[in-house]
Amino acid sequence: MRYRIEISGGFSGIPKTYEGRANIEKEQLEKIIHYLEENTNESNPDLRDGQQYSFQIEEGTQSHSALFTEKSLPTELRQLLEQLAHPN
Amino acid sequence: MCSTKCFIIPPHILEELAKRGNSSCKKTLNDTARITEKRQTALNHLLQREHQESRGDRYIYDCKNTYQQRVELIIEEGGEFIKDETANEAYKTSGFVRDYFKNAFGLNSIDGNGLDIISNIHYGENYNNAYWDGDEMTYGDGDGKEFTDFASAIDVVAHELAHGVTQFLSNLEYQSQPGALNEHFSDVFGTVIKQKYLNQTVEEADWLIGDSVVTEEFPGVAIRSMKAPGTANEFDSQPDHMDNYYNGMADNQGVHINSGIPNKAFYLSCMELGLDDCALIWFQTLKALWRTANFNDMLETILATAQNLTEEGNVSERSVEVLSKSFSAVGIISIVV
Ligand SMILES: [Zn+2]
Repeated sequence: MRYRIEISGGFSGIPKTYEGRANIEKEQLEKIIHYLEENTNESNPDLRDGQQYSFQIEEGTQSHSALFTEKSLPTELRQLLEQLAHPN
Repeated sequence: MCSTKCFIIPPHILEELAKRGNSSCKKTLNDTARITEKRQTALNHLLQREHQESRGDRYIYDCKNTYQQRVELIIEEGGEFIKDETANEAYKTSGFVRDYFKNAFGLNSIDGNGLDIISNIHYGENYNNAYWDGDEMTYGDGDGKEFTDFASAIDVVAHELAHGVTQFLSNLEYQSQPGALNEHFSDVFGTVIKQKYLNQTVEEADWLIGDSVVTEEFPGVAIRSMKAPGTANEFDSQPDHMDNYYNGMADNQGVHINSGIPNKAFYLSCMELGLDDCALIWFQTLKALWRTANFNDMLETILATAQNLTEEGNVSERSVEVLSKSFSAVGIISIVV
């Protein structure tokens, strides 16, 4: 899978981009696509210094993208971001 | 409290009345924007607490590196310090900020009504951020590569807590110029309280925001500079003049970018009037502003506020002249109708 994840906003206001290729199990990939498609776009109008997260995923001929707020980003996508940003 | 009839007045009329100093309509305008289910619940709690003499008690929660708030309460008001230094620092710094607002302006905690001060620390893994969510503060530990320990930084804590103060005083909306002013006020009280905490004069101060949350590997000395916006790090795109105003859509139309313009005006004013006079003028201006106020509204309001404070003998007689000069230096000039 090819990915491009952009983080913007936040206290620092400094944008950060992670992109590349990752080998993801089929089952995890399906879950990721599900979260991207099911994005509720829930936001909190009182949030200050929250980050925005833009996810773009490509697998074969399929592409999926979604924009999340600090409130709407599911824990599973936070964990994926953590896994891609800080691979060990 | 605002009378019921304010609720049927269209927002643009409320805004005009708010500009002319009608505080009940300003309150309606501010409240209308944040009447959500969550806020209603919080307000109900506040109303219930009115009779309990709230004192702005501190509660420090450990998120235990999950993405959940309030996982475990580890320090509460009057409690003992623990082994976790970040927790102890979050407790101390949030108390210092609360006490500053109380002693300098008589403000009883974030909302003026003794709202509890809740800090969530160790949020997530490698989380490079701190935020205010309308009710409480949340801090990451940073990734250790570029950022570190947001909860221990006095200017970060003051910045986030000041977002709460702004929410309750003027509720500046979080986009474009009102959003940049919202960010500006947080940086103003971030730097003022940092200077108080470190016992520095305006000449000694570095006027940096977030210098202690960046590591040695980070390509810069801090996140922002109020003295020299745009110079704190390699990514710093803050302008210090309206000529370089950011017109793009990113960052809620540049709330962390265009705040550099009034930030510079604040720095220039402090160098001539001193920190305490400026802090008082800015605080009283924040109380007088409204949800949709822009940079020109800020200038008009701050000049009127300074004039009143001068007449009352609370600030330097040079205040209006210095403020006009400082805002003019960054390209914010009075529009004469
Ligand atoms: Zn902020």
